[in-house]
Amino acid sequence: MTDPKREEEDWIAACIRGDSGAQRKLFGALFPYLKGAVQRYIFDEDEIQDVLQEAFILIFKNIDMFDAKKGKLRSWASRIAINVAITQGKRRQRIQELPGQTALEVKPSAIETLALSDLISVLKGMPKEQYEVINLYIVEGYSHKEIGEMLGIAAELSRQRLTRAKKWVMERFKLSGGELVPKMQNLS
Amino acid sequence: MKNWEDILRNRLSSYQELGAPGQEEALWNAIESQIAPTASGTEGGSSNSIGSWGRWGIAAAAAVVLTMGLIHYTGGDQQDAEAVPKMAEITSVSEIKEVAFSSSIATSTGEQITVEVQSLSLSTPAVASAVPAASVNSKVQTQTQSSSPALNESRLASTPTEQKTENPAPSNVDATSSSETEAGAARSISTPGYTATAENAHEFANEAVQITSELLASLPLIPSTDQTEESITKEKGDGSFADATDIGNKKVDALDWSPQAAPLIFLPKLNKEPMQPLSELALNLQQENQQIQIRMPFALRAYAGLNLSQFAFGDDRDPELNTYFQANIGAGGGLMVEFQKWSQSFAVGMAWNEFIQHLDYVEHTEYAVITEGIQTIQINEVTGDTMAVITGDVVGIEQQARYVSHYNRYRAFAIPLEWQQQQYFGPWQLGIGLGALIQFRSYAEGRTIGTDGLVADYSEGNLSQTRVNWMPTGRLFAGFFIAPEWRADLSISSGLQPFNNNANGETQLDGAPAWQGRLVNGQVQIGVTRFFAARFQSE
Repeated sequence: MTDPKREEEDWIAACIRGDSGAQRKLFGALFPYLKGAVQRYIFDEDEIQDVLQEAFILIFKNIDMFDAKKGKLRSWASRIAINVAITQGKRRQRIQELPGQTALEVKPSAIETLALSDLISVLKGMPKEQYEVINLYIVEGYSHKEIGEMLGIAAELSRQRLTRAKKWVMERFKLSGGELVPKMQNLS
Repeated sequence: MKNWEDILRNRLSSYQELGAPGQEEALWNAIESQIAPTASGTEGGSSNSIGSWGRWGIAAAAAVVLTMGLIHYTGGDQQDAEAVPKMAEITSVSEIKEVAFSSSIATSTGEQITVEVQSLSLSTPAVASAVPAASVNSKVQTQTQSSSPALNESRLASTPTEQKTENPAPSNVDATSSSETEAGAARSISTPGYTATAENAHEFANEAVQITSELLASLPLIPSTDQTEESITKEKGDGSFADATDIGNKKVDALDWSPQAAPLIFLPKLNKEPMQPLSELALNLQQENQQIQIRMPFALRAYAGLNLSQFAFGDDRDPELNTYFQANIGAGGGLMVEFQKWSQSFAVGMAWNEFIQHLDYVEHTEYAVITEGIQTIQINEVTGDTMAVITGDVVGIEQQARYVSHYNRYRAFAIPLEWQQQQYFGPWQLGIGLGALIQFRSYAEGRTIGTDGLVADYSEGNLSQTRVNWMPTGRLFAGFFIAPEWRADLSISSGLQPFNNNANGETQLDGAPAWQGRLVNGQVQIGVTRFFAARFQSE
């Protein structure tokens, strides 16, 4: 039984030496996570492929800069992938909302019970700039200052977008306040 | 209780997507071709052999350069080796000079110290004799002032102005200590008698003893103590007024300048008017047989200064928002009454304060707008020429930035309550004060940041209906007695008070935002304190 952490360290060391076998293994281990992360920011499947490709190239070329003391490899790689996704997103036109999603209303419990891919599809119904901020702030844990630097906007604007995104979620999921459970009880 | 944000975070952060069959492999092939040059180092090949020869060449060139540099450096060392002793010599000379200079300083300093000590020893007796005289006279004056209105209180106070300056802190004597007051009274009578008529010392001594006895007899509320009796006995026994004065001086020294002496909150008056003859005093005291009461001594302190205020949100708002509120300076002032009760010092009064904090913020807003713009551009695929540009209504986002720099003001009348602990160091007084400030808001106006990142106004009307607020305070103060009854004060205080719009956290009907915050403030105050002597009221 091999230690996953030890195994990952071996792969990283081999990748630094340029071992293509280790690179392939590391790619296979990171691919699902990075695709899941990128898919939250990019709407089009072809664009997801492009972003992933660019992200993995950056990861392998800069793998020697990874410091295991500062965090997990998965987090470090996710950050690179998200940065690439956002940078790519800036170059593209604003993605139009998918037909039919704007009128979709779901129950409050959907946040817990809805399939993840469907939940993401629903969330992607909000304006893209707000969707980016709510992902970066709530899911990834960036501060408004960091988000502002990543998106090239002011931190105050990031805060405003987050407020609007939250309002959108509250309206869409018919939430009142921040609590989910009391609302569910009322509905049932 | 689960918050939807937590649920969203937990679910989305663990989201994985495996991808379509073959998608992963296709992506890897594309990536592998891109990162191949990086990985070529381990695989080797003819191109690598050329690269390795190149590296060897660079390494050899680097070795040659290093060797040349080493040779040059060694030659430089030889040159430097000759220069080093000179440097060492210079260094040693400078050290010697420094030592000599230091020793000369030490010698001269020693001389100065010796001289100072001598002068100090010479001047010490003069100071010692002057110090008790001032304090003693002041005490007698206080008693005489109340016990005998007919008597001019200044008549006993023969101490010249010089003594006042030499001993500006007779307040070290505790006014509440009746024993010390009596002792001081006894001594005070003897001192001016000696200085005024040295030739008839025995006569004046007898008069002083008589007056002292009568004075003590006329103060039934103040019990006599051993110290008083001892001094009287010595005066009687020796008949030498000079000795009695010395003894009295020593005792006053021990009483007045002892660090254990209880602090005095008031200072009595020192008058510069001519001394009344003691015989006249004795007559007056015999004529008046009145009851004496001691009133509470107190002091009035007027102060004014600057208020430095800093606002911070106290609710669960993003802490980053606090960075937009900056400390700023307001003003404040007040009048305090300081008094003693239960052997402790207290102060109460009225004050007015203005707290100002500065909101420095850039408000960003964005709106979805429909405007005329380029919808499509048709390009010839073969030549790349632009065939047509179609314009029309397009959806865009309009961003606006508004710089907000606003001074928020909050004014309040206040009732300060304070407990004080103080210590005297000659003419200096240092202390601390702990208490509270009960505030009554009189005016408030400002701008704040809402939860949506937008600036919102608030004013007196939509603030908390409870105008009364309180703030715990702490104060460090230092005082210097510029005159026996006057003290200049400098104090630094700080406080923390809640500053809320709506405790329920709900937006008010007029649209004013709700927030819960706190206001930290520091004050630098300068002021002056007037001490009032204890009054002896006759009935």
